[in-house]
Amino acid sequence: MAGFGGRSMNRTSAARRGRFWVRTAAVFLLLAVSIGSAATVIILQQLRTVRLVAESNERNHVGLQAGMIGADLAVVLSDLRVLTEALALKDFLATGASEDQGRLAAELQRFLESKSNYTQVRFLNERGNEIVRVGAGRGRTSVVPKALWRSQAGPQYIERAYELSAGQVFVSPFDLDFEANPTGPPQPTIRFASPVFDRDGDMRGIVVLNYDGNALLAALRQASISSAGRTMLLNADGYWLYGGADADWAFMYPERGEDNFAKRYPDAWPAVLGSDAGQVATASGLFTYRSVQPFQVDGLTVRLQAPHDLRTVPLRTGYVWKVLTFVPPTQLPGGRGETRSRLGLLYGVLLPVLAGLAWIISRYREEREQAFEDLRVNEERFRQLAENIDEVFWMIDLPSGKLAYVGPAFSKIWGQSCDSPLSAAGVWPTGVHHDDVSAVARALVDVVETGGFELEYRIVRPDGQERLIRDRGFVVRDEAGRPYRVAGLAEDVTELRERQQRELQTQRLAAIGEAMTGLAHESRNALQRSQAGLEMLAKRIKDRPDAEAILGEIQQSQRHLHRLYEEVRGYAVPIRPEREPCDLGELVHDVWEQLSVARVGRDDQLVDHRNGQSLVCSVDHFSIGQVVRNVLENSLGAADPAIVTVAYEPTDCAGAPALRLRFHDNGPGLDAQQLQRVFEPFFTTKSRGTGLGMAISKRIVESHGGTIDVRNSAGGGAEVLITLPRGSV
Amino acid sequence: MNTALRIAVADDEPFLRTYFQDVLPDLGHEVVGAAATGKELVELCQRTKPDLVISDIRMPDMDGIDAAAAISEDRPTPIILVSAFHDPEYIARAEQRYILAYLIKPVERAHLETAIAIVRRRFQEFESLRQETKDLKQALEDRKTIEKAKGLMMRKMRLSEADAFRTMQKLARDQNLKLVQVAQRILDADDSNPRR
Repeated sequence: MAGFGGRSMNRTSAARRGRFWVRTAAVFLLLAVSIGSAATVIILQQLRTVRLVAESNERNHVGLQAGMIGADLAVVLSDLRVLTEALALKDFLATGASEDQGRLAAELQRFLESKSNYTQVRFLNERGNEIVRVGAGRGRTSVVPKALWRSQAGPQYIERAYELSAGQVFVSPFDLDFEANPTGPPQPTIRFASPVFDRDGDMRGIVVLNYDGNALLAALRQASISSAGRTMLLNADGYWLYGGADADWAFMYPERGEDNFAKRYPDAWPAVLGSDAGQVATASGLFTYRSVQPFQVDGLTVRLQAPHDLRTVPLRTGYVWKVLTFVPPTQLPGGRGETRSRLGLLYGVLLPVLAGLAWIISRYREEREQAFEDLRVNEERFRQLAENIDEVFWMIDLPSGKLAYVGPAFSKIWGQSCDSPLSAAGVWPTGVHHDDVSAVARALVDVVETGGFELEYRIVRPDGQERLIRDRGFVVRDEAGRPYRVAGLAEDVTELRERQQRELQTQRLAAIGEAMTGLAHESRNALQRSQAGLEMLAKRIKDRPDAEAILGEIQQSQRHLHRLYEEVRGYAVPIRPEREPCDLGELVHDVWEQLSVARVGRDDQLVDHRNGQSLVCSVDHFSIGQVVRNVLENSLGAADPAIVTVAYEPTDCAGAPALRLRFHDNGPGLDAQQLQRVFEPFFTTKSRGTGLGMAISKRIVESHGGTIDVRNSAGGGAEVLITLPRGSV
Repeated sequence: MNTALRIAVADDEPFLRTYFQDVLPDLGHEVVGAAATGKELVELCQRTKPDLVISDIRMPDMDGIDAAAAISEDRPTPIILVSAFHDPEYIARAEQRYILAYLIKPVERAHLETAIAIVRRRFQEFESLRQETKDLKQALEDRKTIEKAKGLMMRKMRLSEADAFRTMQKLARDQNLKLVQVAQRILDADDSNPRR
């Protein structure tokens, strides 16, 4: 039992463990998908916002830079205009005097000192010869002596300035000036040139102003901290002027080849080239760009030069720089890198937490299910118990006294449906015998104090049958010890008590039998002596009739005593029928013949109805003969002359084929007391009977598995019904 | 039929021995002796050779049933047992050959009278049957002996069956012997007989 239970427990616990993990996995998946996706969406949304802000920031930055460059360079144009119209220059052109030339140089020096972002200013005459040169470097300005002037072959763009009309400006590309600082690094420079006209309106030369690109680039550098990435400045061909690191100014060094933006970021370049402002996100990063057209000054004609050819292009479209910021993905707020790390962090934390949560949930579920299963099993057990026991299980709620439950065995024992277990007075149970009602009611009331009761009472079923009920009730208490229910078991003990009665009777008989056997043996010896004495005495008093009469009386008493002993002994000894096939009709006739002595001088009749059927049963011939003899003797004693009718009817007894013998006589029948006690030992109405005849008969018939009943016939007279199983005939 | 019987009785109670000695003569019988024990009864019967034995069962030193067996072995005698007991064990043991009645105490004179009459009758029938059987058995034995002797003569003297028989008859007449005695002598004289 234990082994079997243990194995099955293992099997179910393994299955349960399997189910547990499957469930945990399912819950985990569900949580991961729902919470994970929600969290991902939120994070992505948040990062997107951050990125949008960052992108907008880049755009703003780029816009500011572009504006700043434009503003810076616009000033250059006005400065140049001021220089070409300077009085000192006009004076010098008018006079050509050397002091005027000195004044001009001083004037230009003052101008250069007042401005920090020019490296050089020159005046060239109409033949291209330099007249004045003022340089600035290392915080000071100086009029450069004529001896240090370089030849005027100069860059071609200078010559172009001679072709301009008044007010027009020639602007060189932003490139490096290798001459300005022969010992130091090349100087980023933009050269501005504009023709000079004398008071008569003749063109007399040009003013060339070198703009220090470092100032511009330093401003860019300073401002670039407001960008998340790198700030760049490109010329119209896509070469770096700033921010390209080793690629800066590549176009100035033919040996470095075409090292430009278009080559390094080919995926971003078309977009940058194609529009004035915008943002482009490529695999390498986010580019935010804006075109800078520094010389959009109304009313000013500017000629400008593209880096490699000297074509003159319209200012508006030709002189274009691009201010860019480049933010690699890893540095972009809300970008891919950050997204990846944020999501990694999220899932790294979230998934273990969710796994733990899933475990807790399915553990909780399992415990709930186990508890539910336990409950179900308990309930099932209770139900099976309540429905299958022969006892009626009942429960009464306190203090309402309402019947809470009554088991289905009720209908079997009470012989009525379970719908009406309550009596007319509304109390449990219904049908109590009126003699027992008060005892039952008292027990049910007192049980709260006594804690329990055990009671036997009778009930009368609707069909009139009386049953003996044994009812055990007990108080059920809640956790606080207060009684809240009375529960009980009521069982039908009718058969049990009858059986106990019979067993008791059998035991008593066995004890009597044992005593009687010994007694009978001893009595036989005593009776034998007495008999011998009587006979010997009788011989000696033959001549005395009075004494003989007394002796006859003694002899009679002794015979009675003897018979009494024998009958009691016969009743008490165990009966073991020795069965053999026997025709009961013949048996009845034989017995009737044996009784002929008792019928001397009488006119008795035996009428039998054989109906031509077989009357053979397997019985103990001798003992059944004794039964028939008892019955017939009783009939003979009940009437004179007696007419006894015997009818034989086939029937069955406990499912086996049987034969019923119905004896009917013409006597007065039996009164109520006789009917009730006819089978009781020692009950007799005859003055000389032992009262054992019918008791023995009953024992004999029952030892054959049959029944014997006595009743009054409807037409008067007593009727004895003997039913005997046919047995194996 | 109603000739007097010589009866031996046995009971350990002296009063009942007296009773039997008192009542049986009234029934026309002679009580040859009254024993108090089984052994006494056996001895009594050896000495007096009664026609009938009436015995109690429970007695000191040997009970009635064992005594009956011993008596019958010595000489076929009808026996009536009288006892206060009729246990199955006793009944089973009493089913031996010469116990012809089993009476339960208390017995009355009338019971004894009936039982004695019936037992005597039964015993006579029994004895005559027994004698008949014995005679038939002997006849059969004699026949076998004669046939053997005849066969021997036919073989040794090369006689026909009829001649052999006639020779044996002649021998019997001459020597005044029964035919079977002659046959036995022939068989005894034969050397080839394995019994010699």
